[in-house]
Amino acid sequence: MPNSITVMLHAAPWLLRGAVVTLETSLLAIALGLPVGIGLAIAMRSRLRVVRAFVRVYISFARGTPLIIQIMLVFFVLPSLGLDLPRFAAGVLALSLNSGAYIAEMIRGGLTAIPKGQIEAARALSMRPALMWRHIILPQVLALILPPLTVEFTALLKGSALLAVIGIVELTRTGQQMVATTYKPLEIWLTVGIFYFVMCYALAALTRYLERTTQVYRTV
Amino acid sequence: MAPTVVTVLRVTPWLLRCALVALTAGTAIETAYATDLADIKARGKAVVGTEAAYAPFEFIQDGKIVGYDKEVLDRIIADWGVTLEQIDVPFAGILAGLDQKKFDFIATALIMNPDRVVKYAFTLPVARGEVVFAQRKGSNKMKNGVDDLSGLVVGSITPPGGTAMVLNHHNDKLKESGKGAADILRFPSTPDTFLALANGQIDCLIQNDLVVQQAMQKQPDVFEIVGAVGDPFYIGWASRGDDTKLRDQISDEIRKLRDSGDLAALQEKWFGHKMAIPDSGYLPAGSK
Repeated sequence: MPNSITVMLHAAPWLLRGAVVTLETSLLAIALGLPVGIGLAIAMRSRLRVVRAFVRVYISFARGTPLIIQIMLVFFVLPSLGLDLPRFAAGVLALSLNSGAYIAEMIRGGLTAIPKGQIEAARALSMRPALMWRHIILPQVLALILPPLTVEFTALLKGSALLAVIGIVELTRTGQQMVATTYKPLEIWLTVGIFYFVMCYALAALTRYLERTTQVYRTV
Repeated sequence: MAPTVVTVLRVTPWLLRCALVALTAGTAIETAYATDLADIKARGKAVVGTEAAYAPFEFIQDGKIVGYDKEVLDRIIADWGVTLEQIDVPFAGILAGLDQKKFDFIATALIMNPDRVVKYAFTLPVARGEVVFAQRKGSNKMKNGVDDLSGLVVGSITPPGGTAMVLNHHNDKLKESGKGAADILRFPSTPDTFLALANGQIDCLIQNDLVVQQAMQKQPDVFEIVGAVGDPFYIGWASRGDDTKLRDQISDEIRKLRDSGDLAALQEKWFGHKMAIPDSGYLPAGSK
């Protein structure tokens, strides 16, 4: 057993480097995915049927195909369409495009909780839609959907493990590399698990804090 | 105004901008792909793909890619006078990455088998090996040799791995006489197959003998070699099928290393014996 702990301690600094890459990709993807989700949610209510149809197809595709396939599509197929992104950018883009679809659906769900009267009142005051979204709808909806958003962000962080396939050496790939040379799968994967757990737990704790401080928006 | 959500809303456009800047900055660093040595020299950098999970050819030690191929590659890169960007990619992404021009070439141990050589341009061989079956030491599951697979669970890496193809051909032949494997389990990488064999999840595995010997050295008294399948084969690197010029330029470097005796010294260091590297005749028919 002391031997196992030595293996884990030896592996930890290398795995930490991988964890940093996991965090970088995940946080960037969250930062990009949230606006994508908001944009899609707004587009979903567009007056133009073609826009609504596009968003519907996009969301069905993003939710209906495996994330690993989407990552491969962005990295390996987009170049043939003229968009040749480096690995890191392609990975972040794939994650945020995927995440945006889920977030858009959550916002759609949250919108049903906004009393129609508020929107009518905003219109009656001839408020522009942009202003209405920014000051009336989004603050309430985002506060409302914080719990499912937490689920989505932790899912995204764990999903970033799939970026290994395009050569991003994040936490899981570092784990694979270390198992390949140490032949100690139990110790390495246990340490990798601990790293993921700590990151997800921190993310969840952050959103729980946000939930507490946004109580005031929970009118419904 | 309750501060938090408003803050979130305020920082969202800013976050978006940061992310875009980070992404475009990343894009700017990436340079166009090279199709020959002139391109690589003009850029001052070679971008090379490697699956670093194939000891002793290429593996990760203390966060760095090391191994036989890596030392050969380092000598070539030094001779070219450029810098090296070597990317560790799982096998599932390596040939696709080459096709999509994500690397200039791949320096990872590739078996020159007939299915592969028609699509990719192989360099002069860097090593020569055999495909062998390995089992747990003391096991008597394959007491009649490599043709006795009936009822066994065989571990192999996912095609298009070279050994996986050899196993398919071998097993198909055996099936006709009723001696085929009960089941073939596919694993994404070579170390996984050794772990599965050590755990008893598979009865035997098929692999390059040089790699099996390394595993036997790292974990003494766990594995043993049953025997070889088919003919010995050559191992080389590959460039895109169209980039035969670059392939020839890499081959020239390997030939130089062979003639100077450096290659033999590295083989001695990593495999414990020297291998004869021929000038021709190493590629199967119909190759690039």
